[in-house]
Amino acid sequence: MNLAPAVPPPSLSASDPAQLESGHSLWGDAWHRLRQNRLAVAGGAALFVLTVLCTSGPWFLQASYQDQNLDLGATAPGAAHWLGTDTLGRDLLVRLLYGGRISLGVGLSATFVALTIGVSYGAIAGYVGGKTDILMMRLVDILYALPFTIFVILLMVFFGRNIILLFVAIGAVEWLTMARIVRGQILSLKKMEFIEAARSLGLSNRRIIFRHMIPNILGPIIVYTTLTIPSVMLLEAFLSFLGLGVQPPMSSWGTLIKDGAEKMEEFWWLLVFPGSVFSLTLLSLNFLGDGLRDALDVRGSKD
Amino acid sequence: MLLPAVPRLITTTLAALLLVSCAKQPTNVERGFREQVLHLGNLSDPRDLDPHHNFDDSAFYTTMALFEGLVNFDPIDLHPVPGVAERWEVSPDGLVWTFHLRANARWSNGDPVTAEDFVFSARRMCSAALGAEYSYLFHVLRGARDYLQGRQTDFAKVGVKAPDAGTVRYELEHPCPYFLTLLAHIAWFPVHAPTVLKAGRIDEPYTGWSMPGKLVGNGPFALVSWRQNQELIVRKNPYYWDAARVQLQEIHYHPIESSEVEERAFRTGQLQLTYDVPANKIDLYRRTQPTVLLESPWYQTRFISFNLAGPPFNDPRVRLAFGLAADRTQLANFPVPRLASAAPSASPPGFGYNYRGPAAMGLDVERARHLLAEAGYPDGRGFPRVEFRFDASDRSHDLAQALQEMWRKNLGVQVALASQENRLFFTSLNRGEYQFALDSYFGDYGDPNTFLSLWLTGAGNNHPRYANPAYDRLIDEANHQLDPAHRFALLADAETLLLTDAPVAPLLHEIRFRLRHPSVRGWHGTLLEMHPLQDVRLDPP
Amino acid sequence: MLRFIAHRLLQAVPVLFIIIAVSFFMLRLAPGGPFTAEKAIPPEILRNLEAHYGLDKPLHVQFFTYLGKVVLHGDLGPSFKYSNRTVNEIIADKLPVSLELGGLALLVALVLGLTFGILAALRRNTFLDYLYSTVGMLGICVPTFVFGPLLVLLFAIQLGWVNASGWYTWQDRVLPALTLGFVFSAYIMRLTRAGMLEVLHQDYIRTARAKGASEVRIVLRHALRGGLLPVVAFLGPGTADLLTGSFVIETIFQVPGLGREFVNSAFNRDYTLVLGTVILFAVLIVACNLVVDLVQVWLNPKLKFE
Repeated sequence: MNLAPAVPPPSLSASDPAQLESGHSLWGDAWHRLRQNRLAVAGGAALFVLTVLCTSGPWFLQASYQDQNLDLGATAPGAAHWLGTDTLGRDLLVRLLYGGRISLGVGLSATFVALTIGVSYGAIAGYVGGKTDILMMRLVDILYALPFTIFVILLMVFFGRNIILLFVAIGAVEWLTMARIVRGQILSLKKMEFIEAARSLGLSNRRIIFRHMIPNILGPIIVYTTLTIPSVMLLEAFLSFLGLGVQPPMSSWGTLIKDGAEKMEEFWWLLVFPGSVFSLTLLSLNFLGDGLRDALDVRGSKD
Repeated sequence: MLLPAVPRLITTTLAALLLVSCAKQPTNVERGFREQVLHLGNLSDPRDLDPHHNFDDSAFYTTMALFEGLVNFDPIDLHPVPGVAERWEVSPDGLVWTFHLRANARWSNGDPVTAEDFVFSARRMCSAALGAEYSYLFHVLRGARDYLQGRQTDFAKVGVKAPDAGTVRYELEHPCPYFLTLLAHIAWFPVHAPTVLKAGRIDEPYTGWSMPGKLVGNGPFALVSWRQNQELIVRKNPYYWDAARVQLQEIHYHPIESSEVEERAFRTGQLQLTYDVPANKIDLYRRTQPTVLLESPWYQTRFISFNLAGPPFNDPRVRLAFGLAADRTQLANFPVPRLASAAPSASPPGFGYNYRGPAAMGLDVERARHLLAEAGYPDGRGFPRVEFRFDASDRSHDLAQALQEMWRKNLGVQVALASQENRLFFTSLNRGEYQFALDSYFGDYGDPNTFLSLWLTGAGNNHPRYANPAYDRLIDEANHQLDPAHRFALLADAETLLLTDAPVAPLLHEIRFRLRHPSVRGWHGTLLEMHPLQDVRLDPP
Repeated sequence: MLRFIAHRLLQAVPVLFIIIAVSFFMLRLAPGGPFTAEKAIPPEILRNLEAHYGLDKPLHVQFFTYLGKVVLHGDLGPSFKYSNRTVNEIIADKLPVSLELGGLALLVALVLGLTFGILAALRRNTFLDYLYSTVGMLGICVPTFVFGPLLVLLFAIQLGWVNASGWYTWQDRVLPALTLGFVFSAYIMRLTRAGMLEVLHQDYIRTARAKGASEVRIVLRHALRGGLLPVVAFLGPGTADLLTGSFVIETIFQVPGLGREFVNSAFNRDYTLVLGTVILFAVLIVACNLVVDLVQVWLNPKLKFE
């Protein structure tokens, strides 16, 4: 039974390659479709609001993330502190907003690093194939198996504490699975007729990979990206606790959730509010991601 | 269509699974009274059950069940009571101690415990090749330090003798009023020579003789089984000389690292006794189940170590300013009240002796600011960027953040915080690669000397690298003093000197918290976290 | 295909060698040793302990001694933290536990993840799709260290159906397997949905539909093959992760598995145990990825074994 596509996907094979190059209509259409998707728009809006709140919110609040009141301790949400205070008597709302700067910053940029490396690496390995593929994928195996905790400790020892290192440490582990996924997809695309056609038209390899193949596997890439972001944000809390990255009293959503999880039976607000904001962000990203994927999917839109 | 049915199928299966599992079995606690089996939280697995190779807190509990020294601790206040020795006498100069062994002391295989066993054990501890971490507790024995450090190769010259099978005699370097509490430390416990020698040489580490099936001990319990990360089981030893007194039939040690996990296991009746209590749950237990919560002071001090090697902490005024700007009362009472007690001095109170360290360190913002100004930093202006180190634990994170804020408010100095993975942290303290750090120490034996000898010139745990001949001389003089009052006066002088030079700033004495089911009788909180098990029993509450 | 497998096994040799070598020297570069403790050990004692383990020899000598033992005798050496046990014994004791927990969790994850992933793709952009996606995302947003204790609070403490922790009876397997499996299922669900969507609009599916094939047949016989590619690629390292245990789950439920050793051995600087677990993990990674590549070819016959 041959299940391989008998006909190349119509959108690409039928169209003139030159038309593909004119990004305007493609991206314009995508943008138009994205705006039609209400969930994606809601997700995007929620993200935008959160980002604005986290970046500019702290300027309008009097308290700082490190202002303590040990006598006050942990108090439930109320008029003075809308989201309550933590065990050191610090305002949770303020810490949540400051934490958003770190978490959104680290989460998005480390994921971007992982995404860039993972996609290009996987695509090149899959497309070039042969010995290069073998070498590249064995390197992925090696990196995946190295002891991560020791790697973190060494980073701390040799480079001191530095937020850039956080991106390096996180980026260094998170791209590996992405590369494997992308490679698998590229391998299956490589044999399709429209790619052969593109090659026979004399398009450069780079153009074939980035213009013709990657757009066809955006779905899994986008989904895996949205799956990477939460694990990156939580990993940050673990690394910070060990001394790499963000040091107290500066907060991040990861550290707030970790802290709240230990106290959830006594001080529910310490877990519920950071957890909700975290989940809301990721849900928004997720819906935005799904919307993006649908918008960029030329085939799906024909249904 | 088949597919939509699947989710329902899954939910039903899961629900059914959970329902089947609710066939309720009696909990460990319920079985406990009937069978006298104690389930105990024990933090982590010990490195080894060999009493001479034990360095972890959790190892104390297991070792105290399996072995017994010449002297035991009283379960309440830890005063020395007869163990393998039924009586003893000390020479008038305090240098020669003679112990008379009870005739019915037996190893768990039935062999008699003899004086030779104690000589063998001392020789083993004093062999550097064994690598016994607590060997420094033997330095008090005449010639032991030389033997350990290779300047003496004839063990006959070391001050331990067995004139006959029932008598052990120790000769000391200097009078040692706390010698009996040293003997109750696991490092001085005897090991069974034939068992040790069957597995390897006397000074060969980790030969496996202390594993289940091989270990022979002389304690109230004998080893049954040990599964790592699950449980270690000991059972009543019928050969123990005081077996009639031992009520428990079995003890199960559960190595549970997280206190939250432990607390949940306690709540479902899986443990009768926990190792710790999550700090934020303490208040709840105080309000709702005060009888379950066991609070006891601990022979421990948390302090700040300053690195004396470089600016700005090479200036004693700066060190004192940082010490005086810390509000110990506040530190001791957060996140819950009475989590610790304020430490005005380096050595904790306790042990029935009337030694009290000088109350030198307390909150004095005015003096702190004045000292800092004198040192050239009025209101903290121009103070260099300094980094405060602490280990990766929740408690240290909390304390460091509170201290940072106190220094900012009281001194006007913004300190950077730096948490460090634990072994990195200990390494940087040992190597002097830090500026100032949150340090701590718990006492090995019940005497202020265990703390004050930390800061002798060149001592292993002297993290500030403090070196003051006057201090060394005072401690040494105290060591040669027989009269307790005079001795404590000398120690107090030394401690006053220490707190004036302020290489360290004491902060807190921690309090230990445990959850103890009301059925557990005869287990008490003690200063050294040593818990004799002979009198422990389980009664229905 | 046999040639392909043989080639891959040959490649595994240098891969394992590099992993062992790099891990070995990384470990030794990290400050603090297996005997670093809160209280410093007297220097003469430390020297002897190090000599006992051969840590006083030059590093390259230690490395080749270690490598020789591993290769010639399969001897991973004595553990530093659990002094009377060898790493072989520790792994032999704990791997079965981790395999059992990981296997159960994988089962939960595959059943939940594939089912809901396929359903979500088929019902794309309907309420059900959004519901599954949201629950799936929550599975990812709620970390195991929150989800696990919540399950314990509900089923062990409130309802009293199971024990809060421990690994003795089969009831003790339920909560850990569910917690671990649930998070994993969320990943699988999202990836399945994405992979299926890529496939469902392809022409061969339309052709099959046009020919009047039933929906179930289309999904199971046609779409799944292409749709599972991303999940399969993810499952390679994912399975190796699952089978070697999870630190968080094992801590929360007091499971005597390997996951805790992976993390704690690094903190304890238990050199041999770190290396032993790394070697085990590396072998699993190589094996799982090999299986994945075989499955990928099976799923897409157009690919050839290269």
